[in-house]
Parts: sequence; C-alpha cells; structure tokens
Amino acid sequence: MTNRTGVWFLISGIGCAAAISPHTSAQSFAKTAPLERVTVASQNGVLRKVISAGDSVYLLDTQNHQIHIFTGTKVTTVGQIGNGKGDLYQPYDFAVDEGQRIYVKDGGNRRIQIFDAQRRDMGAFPDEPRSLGLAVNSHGEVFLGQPQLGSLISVYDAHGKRLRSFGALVVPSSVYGERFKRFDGYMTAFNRVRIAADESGNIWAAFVYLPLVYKFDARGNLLFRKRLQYPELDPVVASVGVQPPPQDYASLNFDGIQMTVVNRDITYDRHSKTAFLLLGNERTIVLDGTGRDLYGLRPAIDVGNLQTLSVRDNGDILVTVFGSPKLYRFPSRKEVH
Amino acid sequence: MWQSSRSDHDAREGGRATWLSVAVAAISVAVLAFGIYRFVTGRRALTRLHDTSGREVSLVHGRWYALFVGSVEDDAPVVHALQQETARRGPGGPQITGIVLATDLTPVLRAYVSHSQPTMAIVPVESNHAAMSSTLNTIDDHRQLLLVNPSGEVVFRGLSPRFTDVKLLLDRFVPSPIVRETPPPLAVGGELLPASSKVINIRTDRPEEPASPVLWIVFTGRCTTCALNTYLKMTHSVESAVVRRAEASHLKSAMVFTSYFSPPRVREQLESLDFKLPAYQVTSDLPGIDQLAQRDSADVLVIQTDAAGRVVSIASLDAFVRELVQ
Repeated sequence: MTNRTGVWFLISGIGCAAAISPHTSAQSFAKTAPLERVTVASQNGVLRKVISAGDSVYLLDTQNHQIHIFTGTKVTTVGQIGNGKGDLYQPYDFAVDEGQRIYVKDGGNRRIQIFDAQRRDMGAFPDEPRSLGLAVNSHGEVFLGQPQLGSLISVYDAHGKRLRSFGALVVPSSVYGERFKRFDGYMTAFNRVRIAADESGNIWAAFVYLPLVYKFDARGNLLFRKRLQYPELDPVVASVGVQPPPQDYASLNFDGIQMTVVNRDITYDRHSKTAFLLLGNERTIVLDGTGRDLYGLRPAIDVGNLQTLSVRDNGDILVTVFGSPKLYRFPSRKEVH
Repeated sequence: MWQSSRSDHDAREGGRATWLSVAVAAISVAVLAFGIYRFVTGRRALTRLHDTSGREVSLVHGRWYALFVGSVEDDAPVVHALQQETARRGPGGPQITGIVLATDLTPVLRAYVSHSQPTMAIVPVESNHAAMSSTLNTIDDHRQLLLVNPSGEVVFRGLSPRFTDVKLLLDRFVPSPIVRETPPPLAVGGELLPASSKVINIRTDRPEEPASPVLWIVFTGRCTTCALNTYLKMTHSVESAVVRRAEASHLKSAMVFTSYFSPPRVREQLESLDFKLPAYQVTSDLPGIDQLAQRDSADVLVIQTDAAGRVVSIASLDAFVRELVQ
C-alpha cells in the first residue's frame, strides 16, 4: 500500500448530457439542457473501472496494475505488478463489499485477489474457469460469471470454495432468431454477464452480447427477465454477430469471438435503490427494483466509448472510457434542469 | 580367529559399504530433491540458447535476465522498451540482460537484426523450443515477459505484456541507479524533433533531415497495430485534404513514425495504400511524445511545427479529420 497523493490532478470542463423521458416501451431518447462535466485524470494510467462506495472512489488502473482509492484528499493504492501475494497483473474487474474489502479479478494471474479494509492481502483463489462479471454480497460471498460451468453465475466463499451456481444459460438463437443458429456453439460468449448486487443480496445480471437483464434473489431464483427494447439500441443489437464488428460501437473479444457489446456495465445505487445500465450506444438506462424503466441518460461526452459506471451518493454518475486515463462524471436525472 | 577377524573385517567392510550406500543414496535424494525443488520453483538456470547467427546465449547465475517471448515486428513497443530499460540498468548498475525469444520466421528476424542492429540477443523460438520448454517452462509461443533473478528463479511471468510493463517490472525488481526524470508531455513551444533526433526516410531507409515548417502526422506507437490497421487508412482517406490544408498555410506535410514501428511493416502498408506523403521514422526517442499520447489517449497526433521546429499546435487525428471534413 502506498500513498500516491500528487500523482492525480483535476481538470474541469463543460460537457453536456441529455436525459430521455421515462419509458416502459420503445421510445426515442430526447435531448435536454447541457450538464456539467468534470474529469479526474491520472498522469499515467488506463482506468478500467470505477466504483463509488461510501466516502471513497475506487479506480482500477489496469496499466499500472493497481487500484487507487480516493477518500477526501487522501489517496491510497493497492497492488503492484507481480505474481506474488497481494500483487496484481492486468487486473480486469473488482468489487467492494460493505466492510470495504476489495475483491479483484486479477486477470493476468488468473485469480481472485482479496484485500481487507486496511488494504492488506487477505489471500486469493483461482479464477478457474476464467470469469467475466464480479460482485460481492453483504456476507462476503463472491459472485462470478462462469457460464463454462453450465450456469450463468457461480458463488464462492472467500477461500474459493464453490457454494452454488444459478441461472439457466441462454441459447443465442432463442433471442436473436433462426439467423443466429450459427452462433449457438458460442454459448459461453453469449452468456457472459456483468453482475451487480443490491442491498438485499439480489443479483442483477446484464448480458454482454444480448439485450437482456436478469434479476435473481439471494438464493439464485429468477425474479424477472427483461428484454431491452429501445429504438436507439436497435442498431447496436443488429450489429451483434456481424463479422468483423462495425466500428460504430465498441466491440470486445471474449471466448474467441469479437462482437459488438450490448450491455457494457451494470451498477446498483443503494441510495436511490435503482440499477444503472450502461448500454452499447453510450446511453444509460435506470431501472427500478422491478425492472421498470425509470429514465435514461445520454451524456454527450466526445471522448470515446464509455466503459463502466458507478453512482455517487450525491447522484453523480462516474464513468470510465475505454483505453483512457480519465474519469468523467455527469449528474443523474435529478440534477437535470 | 582369522575367520572371526575376517568376519569382523567383512562386517566393518560391510558396515562401510552400507554407510557409503546410505551416504550416496542420501546425496542422490538430496540432489534429486534439489533438482525437483528447482524445477518446481522455477530455479533452473536457462542455458544454451542460440541467437539468429547461431551464437550461444548462455544464462548464468549472478545476473538478472528479462526475457520477452513475442514478435519483433508485432511487439516492437515491448522489444523497444526491453532494450531501453535493460540499457538504463547497464554498466555501473545491476547486471541485467534483455533477451528476445522471437516468434518470427528466421528471414524476418535476420532482416530485423540487420536493419535495427539491436544490442540485445534475438533468439529464434523455432530453433530453441527444447531449451525454452525445459528451462523456462514456456510450453508454447504465447507472448510473455519473464524475469529471472541472479539465483536463477523466475520471479515474474506475465502473458500478453504491454510495453509499459517492462519499466514497471524492472523498477520494482531491478531499480535503475540512474534517476531519469520522465519528460513532460510535448507542448506548444516544445521541439518535436530535437537536434539529437535520428530521422530516416522510411521509404529509402536512409538518414534525412525533413524540411520545416511541417504539418506532421505523428504515429505515436501507443498501439502500433491500431495505427497500422486503422489510423493509416484514415490518414490515407484524407491525404489530399491534408496536403491542401498544409499548402494553404505554406507548410510541408509529412508522416512520422516513432521507433516502436517496424520499418518493413510500415513500408509495406504505405506501398499497399499508395501513399504520396513523405514518411519518416525517428529511430531515437521523441521526448514527451509517449507522455502526450498517454495523456490524450491518442495513437496518432497532428502536430504543426514552425520554421525553427517548434510546436505550434497539437490535435488528435480524430479531431483534425473532423475539422477537415466539416
């Protein structure tokens, strides 16, 4: 753990965002007044993911193999390049539990590395088979997206013991129709999900390559299945499976196939008790606990493709951008004029 | 008595033989255990690799080794960083040797060695598979970075390294005795090509001093694959507009590639796209460019310099093209 105060600096700027009207069916996104944008940048890093938890903001810097934690004016850092205990190599994702323990998908070391609230190494367990999607609940149970095991999500204790798995896999052609029969062999890729846990231990899963969001209870029972249907998302959905993927949208390669991403990230805001979904067209949809669309946001940030998002208690939405050292924020709907 | 003595003698001899056998067995077990321990913990020293000329490249105890398995063409930034960072820790500092275990075909490697004259050993993977698998446990040709300490231990092994990993890794394990300040990002007023720059015409492969002032399209090397696969085509699509824009401002226009790029690869792409713009490569460092590319997340920059070579303006290629087509 090192204090890197001084490495980081702030840049303020003006950007704009737009909100979409609440919709329960397909509606177009409507522009609203410009919103303030603030950028937090590192001098040398690539920010892969942001999480706001309590008074702190956690930033995964995949280039420096570290997580930076901002609490007030204090900045601490965990991890450094290496294969040893408490080291990280190409960290890809992380989650923070209520006790401020940090769970890192330490991609290059193929393990889930855990740090305690004092940023000390608490051990690690193998990330096998290779996961995508990570969340923790209030009991310290670790949820990993591992469709290779036959279910969407598998649950582990902090020592890596698999406790249970849940979530039936989806056959691509059952969503996209007969033309996707040729992709039915890519079950693992099409069942990759981003995961978020709410305060009740419910688990939200947003499919990376499918316009679907599932919500499970703490035991893994399916509460609802939501099909995302917005006209502005249609071109994104239509480009899934196109080879090579069109350059209009961000595409990622998981499990040997490069495809346009439909859902880039999902996060749950305990303050407003809503789920925020970052879509493949830079839009954000806010869902209530039943999966109903509340409203949408369209930040007009001309900086590239948004990658992950997190919501601060004050309603600010923090976002990272693919390949960028910068962090952006824009107010959520309640601050739109 | 004799028999008895003989028996005693035999017994003593037998006892000696037993003790000797036990000792030999114990030593054998110890050696075997040590061998297994060294194998399991990766402590076997790497020896007898052979470079592109067939020369032996021995790895010995008492030195650090940073090894990269990958392509000298596709992974030029990593190769470049390895050469730079091991050189910084050269004489007077920790003894560290950089070695590239190259996955390229031999003719490509020979051309690379002839052109770039690397100071590091370039070892073809295709003729060193056995040594690599037995001593480094590199069971395949996956791109990877390894660090071997003076005891022969593999203290780090990382797949798919980025070029920035080389410095991070060596800074952690093999600190440089030379404190070198990282230059600030290149800014307006700074020099794009200081007098110390070594510039070659990438088409003729000969040193050349570009004329000023220039509207430069600078390929930074932050992602060489992105640059060659995407941004070069983007540049080509606006090439004539770039020339017109430059001429309207009484500027020359040219492309410049950092040393991260493989000249044959660039040349091939330029020819296939039928570029007309002059193209140069800086074979030395471009101070502040890496930092600027990193700060602005830019693979390609458009930089205008004045007659004195000073930077007048900086824009990303994306922003420049947007402005150009408006």
